[in-house]
Amino acid sequence: MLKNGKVNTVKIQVYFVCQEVVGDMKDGIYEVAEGSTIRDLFSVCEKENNIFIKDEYRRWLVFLADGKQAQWDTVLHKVNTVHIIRAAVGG
Amino acid sequence: MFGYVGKLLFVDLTNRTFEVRDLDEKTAKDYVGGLSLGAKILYDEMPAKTPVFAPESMIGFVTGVANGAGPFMGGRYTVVSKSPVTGGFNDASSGGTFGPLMKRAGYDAVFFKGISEKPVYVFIDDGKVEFREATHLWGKTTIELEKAIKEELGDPKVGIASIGPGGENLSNMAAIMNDEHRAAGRGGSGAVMGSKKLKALVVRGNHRVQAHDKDAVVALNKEVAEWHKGPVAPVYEMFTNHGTGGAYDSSIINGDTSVKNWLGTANDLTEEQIKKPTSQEQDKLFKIKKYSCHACPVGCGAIYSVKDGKWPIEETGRPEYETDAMFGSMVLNGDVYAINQCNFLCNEYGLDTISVGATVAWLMECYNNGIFTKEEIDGVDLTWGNADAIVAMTEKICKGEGIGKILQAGSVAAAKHFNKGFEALVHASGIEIPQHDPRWSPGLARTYQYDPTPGRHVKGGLSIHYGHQPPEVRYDYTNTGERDVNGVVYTEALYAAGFCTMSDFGLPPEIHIKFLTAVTGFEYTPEEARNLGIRSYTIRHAFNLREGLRRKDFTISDRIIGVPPLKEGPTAGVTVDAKMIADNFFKELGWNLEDAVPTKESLERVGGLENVIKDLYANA
Ligand code: SF4
Repeated sequence: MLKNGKVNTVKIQVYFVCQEVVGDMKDGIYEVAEGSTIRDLFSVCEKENNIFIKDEYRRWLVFLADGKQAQWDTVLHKVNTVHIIRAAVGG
Repeated sequence: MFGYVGKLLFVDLTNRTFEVRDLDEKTAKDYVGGLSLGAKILYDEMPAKTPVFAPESMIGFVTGVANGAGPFMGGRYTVVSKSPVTGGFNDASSGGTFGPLMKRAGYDAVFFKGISEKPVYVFIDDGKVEFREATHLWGKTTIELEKAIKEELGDPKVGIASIGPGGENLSNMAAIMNDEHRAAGRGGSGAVMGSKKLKALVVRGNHRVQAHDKDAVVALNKEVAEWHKGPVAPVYEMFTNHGTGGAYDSSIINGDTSVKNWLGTANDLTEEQIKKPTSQEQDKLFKIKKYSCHACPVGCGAIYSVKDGKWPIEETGRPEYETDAMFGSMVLNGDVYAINQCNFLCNEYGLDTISVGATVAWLMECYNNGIFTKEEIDGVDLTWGNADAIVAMTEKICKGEGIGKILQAGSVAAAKHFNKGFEALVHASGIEIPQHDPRWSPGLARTYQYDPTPGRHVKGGLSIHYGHQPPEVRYDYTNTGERDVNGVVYTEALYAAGFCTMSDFGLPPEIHIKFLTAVTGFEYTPEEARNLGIRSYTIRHAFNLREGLRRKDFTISDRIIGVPPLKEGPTAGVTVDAKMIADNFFKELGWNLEDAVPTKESLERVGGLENVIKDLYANA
């Protein structure tokens, strides 16, 4: 939070590789408050796409932040890119 | 007995005789079916240390008790034999309709020994056994063969499990094909069939097995359907719409899929190369209809028709994830026409797409590193990603032409033949590794190395999905034993019953034991269910022990466990402590850590392994 009450934000490029979970959520740049977690970023994505994912489906998502494995509670510190990936594998 | 026909068929191809035996209730309860019952029969009937292509060597086709008895996704049968690749036990399973049709023909399992003087196929017609000449069929590809046999018998609905030229040529990579596009692919069982001059096993009949409690089966099917619609809906939606290849792109990005013969990462591929081979994209180009195995509401299969491009194909099965990756990311290729052609060739010639793809990748790495010259590889320019060259080399392997004749034996045998290229081999006990990376999901190191059928990704344990655990969990190697053994226990029971590996995805593990009880009427306490799984694993392992194999004989390539580690990507820096994971596993089973021999007490605790105890401890 800045002194004047404004929140510093960061822009993050998000890629979705999990259409069967998130439907038509769009790849793109999403803006979140500094210090946000992946969970916060995902909420922003939900709101901007107007698509809301049931809690029970969230276990099918995993994340990479700048190519490194990340979790729902990973803080997005100096992160440029987040991949949101299906937690399913081929047979 | 409920769920079973209660009959086992033993065929001697040398003398063209057969014997029908009853399946006794204790063996049925202890070993159920599939890989487990298959291993038990092989252990009891096949003399120790029989050379794999000798007349005494046996090959068995074993149904699962769920086959044809009502449970969803319970249609898989298993082929068991000694493996010409690893020299140990081999099991390979397949879906489609063959398993249920074999029970309709009147047998829970059919075992072959002996060597036919001339090519033959065995036709089981409602219990009757007929030896039919197959000299005119020898040399036919699998789809041609299925057509010819159906015409010959005047019945388009017979079940056929057969070999293509790959099996006839005794290729270590030879698969057994059924339902045109389904494969019991791995470990070289097709070569064992070929060595016996057995071109096909053909079945039909009217025998119907009854479940002990049909209402319970229906109720459990309903429960499975609820799960599929509920918490696991997104995953099953992907399998239903796009099959296993639906996860191709995500698996490359997260580090599970091999890139560049296990040396690379997603960064070595273009965005297009990652995206285009996904089934979602391939379906748009080629899909003409869906395809399901017997009693499967998921239906992860599809039929493709490739109408344009360099390699048109009238009809072919959609490549599975493994095949996409083997002929895609593994060789830096994004040309889906080439991937489909390689898949088509392997299926037609009856070869395992995993081992063929890995062998092409091995040679490609060697060629790009100057270990082989262009002249040495028949003038094929195997530069990374050269789609034409990938198809050309696959064709050579399938047809056994030129260098393909040597490569048909697989990458390890080829390296030995040429006495070079060892540094580019990636294998477990001689068999090529499938498309799931232990550096991403470390438990696979133990599975690949020490499963009695090495180099398989569908053998449970910590399993592939363990890769989705946070790094602090999955790279903590200290306490993996219990979870690893639990995973094995469950998977062994699943396959013994004849269920598809995808049937357990996200579902509670007890559900398949409940199915087993509903079908057979056999009650399993949690302890008995656990012993069932351990017994199954142990009898497979005991086959290997009897062949003289010990812990030191089960090997895994350094590269695949991160020695040296990757320098970039999601698994950068990871070196898997494969030894600790394996120690934990053997400790949990109560086995000797040094040679992986089960202690007498551990065998007695599980029960039903008296023959193994006798063999291991008779002199003690
Ligand atoms: S999920 Fe696929 S492989 Fe499994 S039973 Fe169904 S159609 Fe067959």
